[in-house]
Amino acid sequence: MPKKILIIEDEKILGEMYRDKFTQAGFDVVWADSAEEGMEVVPDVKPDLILLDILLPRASGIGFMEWLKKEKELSLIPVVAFSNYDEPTTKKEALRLGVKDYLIKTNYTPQEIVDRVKSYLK
Amino acid sequence: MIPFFALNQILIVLINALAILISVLVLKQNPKGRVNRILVLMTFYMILWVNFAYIPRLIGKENPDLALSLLKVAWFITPLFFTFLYFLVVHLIEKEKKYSVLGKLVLFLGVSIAFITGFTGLIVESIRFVGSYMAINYGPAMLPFLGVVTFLIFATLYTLFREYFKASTALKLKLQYVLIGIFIFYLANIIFNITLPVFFDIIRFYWIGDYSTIFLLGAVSYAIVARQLFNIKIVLTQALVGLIAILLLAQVATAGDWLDFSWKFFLFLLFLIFGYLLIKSIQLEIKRREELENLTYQLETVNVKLTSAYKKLEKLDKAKSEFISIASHQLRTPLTAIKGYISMILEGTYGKLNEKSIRPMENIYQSNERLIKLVNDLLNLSRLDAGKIKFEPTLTSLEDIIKDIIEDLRITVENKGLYIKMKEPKLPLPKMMVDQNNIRQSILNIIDNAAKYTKEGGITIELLKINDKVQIKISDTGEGMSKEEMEGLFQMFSRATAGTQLHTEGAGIGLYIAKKFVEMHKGRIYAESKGKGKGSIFYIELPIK
Repeated sequence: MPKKILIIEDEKILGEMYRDKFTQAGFDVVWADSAEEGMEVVPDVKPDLILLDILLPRASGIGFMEWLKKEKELSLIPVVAFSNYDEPTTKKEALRLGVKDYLIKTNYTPQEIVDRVKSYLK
Repeated sequence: MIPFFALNQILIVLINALAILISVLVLKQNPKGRVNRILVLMTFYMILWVNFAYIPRLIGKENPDLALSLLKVAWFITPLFFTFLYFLVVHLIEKEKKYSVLGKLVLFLGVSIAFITGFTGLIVESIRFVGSYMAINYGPAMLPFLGVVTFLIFATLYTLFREYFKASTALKLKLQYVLIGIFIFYLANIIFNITLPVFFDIIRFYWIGDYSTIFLLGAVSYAIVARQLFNIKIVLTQALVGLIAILLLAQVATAGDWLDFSWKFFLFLLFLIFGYLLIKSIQLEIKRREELENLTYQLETVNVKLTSAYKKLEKLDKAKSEFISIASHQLRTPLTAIKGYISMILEGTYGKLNEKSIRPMENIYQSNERLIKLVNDLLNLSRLDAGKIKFEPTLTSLEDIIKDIIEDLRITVENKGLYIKMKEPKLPLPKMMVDQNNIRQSILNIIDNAAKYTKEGGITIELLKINDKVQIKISDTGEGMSKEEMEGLFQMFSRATAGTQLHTEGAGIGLYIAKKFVEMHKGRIYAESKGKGKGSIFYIELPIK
């Protein structure tokens, strides 16, 4: 069974890129372009891991994490934050809310992100 | 010695003159002011009171009926004067509702008792003479009259004290003057106009009570007219010293013989000296206190300004940090897309790449990496500059960090035809408390720098344990450096000559950032080179924690 991954990414170019890469790497990919859409699909999709952007229109990635923490059944889904927003307070807040890692997108190739995700799914 | 009646005449003239002067000054200061108008009206009443109480004593024996009528006018004015004093205080503090219940009661009782006094014989019944002094036969309503006057006194004091403690410093000082005037006026009236004549039939001091009104009006007028009030303590001291000096001078004037005169004059002079010194010392004390208060006030003002400026700066600082974070986010997004797509094209995600296209693609990838590094360095630099980078150590294996960096850079370095290798440590190294991100960035910057200035050979990284330190030794077979170049190596925007000649990449901030991060760990960073063309060795030394 391929692993299900939910990518929450508002930048169309990046969203398509990561979707292509993870699909090619054998993942079952669901892509949401806002935190709200993410909240909508998580209960149905029940992904094995969520790749979460932080700077999103309206609700941010932090807002998504706060919501996820309150959802009993879903709160155990591992989340990896990936963002180009490198702000220490936000980073700290995301880690406090339980993200496994806070990756700066620009420092990793999509393959490296796939490798990281695989290591969290082991 | 001046006969008493003559003295009384002088005092009457003096008081009348003073009263006119007060009226003029008060009206001049603010002709439309309510307090000023009440004060002028009270001065007018005082003139009537003092004169109409004085004249009957001159003409009483010859014309007792006229004397009684005039006296009744003076007595008619007395409760009105007390009533106006109440309203003067009310308007001075400007807080009391102008038509409060107390105010209405004061007005009603004051006016009623004035009319009863002036137009009936219930209070002042008739006059009689005891020797040369005129005495009054009081009517049956004398006690209620005293009751009303007492009520007026208490109403005034109550209103004054109720607001006094809440008043501003300036108003407080004004009220202090009013209080002194009221105190003298009430005390003199209670003793010389009420207690002594009514209860003890002593009438020869009545004038002190009457004339004390001038102190009241003088003090209140001064409080209103003067722009800057003297401290009440100085005024009281001066008044007291002046009074004692006059009494001592009177003693000198009435001295019996030369010996008595000399002794009293000596005492008088001595008192003048000590009095002068006393006033000076109080003036000095008050001046110092005022200076201190002034300084405290200035300090408080500066404090408030500083707090506000600090808050503004904090706000600006926050806005600046946010701007930098957002700006770097915006810069990084397209760089991420370029990096991601090129790497995927090179990996064959979109099909096998044409042989001829591989090199240009790799060049695009490398150029993009340089841009990413530049954005990262600038972000780090602005945060270092703002003191925003926090030191967050975690237990970390330096070996793992270095291996990770080598893997990241391997393709880039090998593409240049160079080698990159790590010499395994002879002894296993302990895990250390270091800030992973910062140390990784420091080592990365040095290796990146070494790769930049090496055309042949490669880079070797060693990890050594020296006493209580771990040394990271990064050697390259590159251009090497002259002594002069090494001096400014870790300064911002510094690039070796080779750098300017061979490479245009890099802004010269990588080594500066590395140095700052190493210093956060209380470590040391330095470089050695045997000279041009002989390669360089960079050292990072970190204390084992």
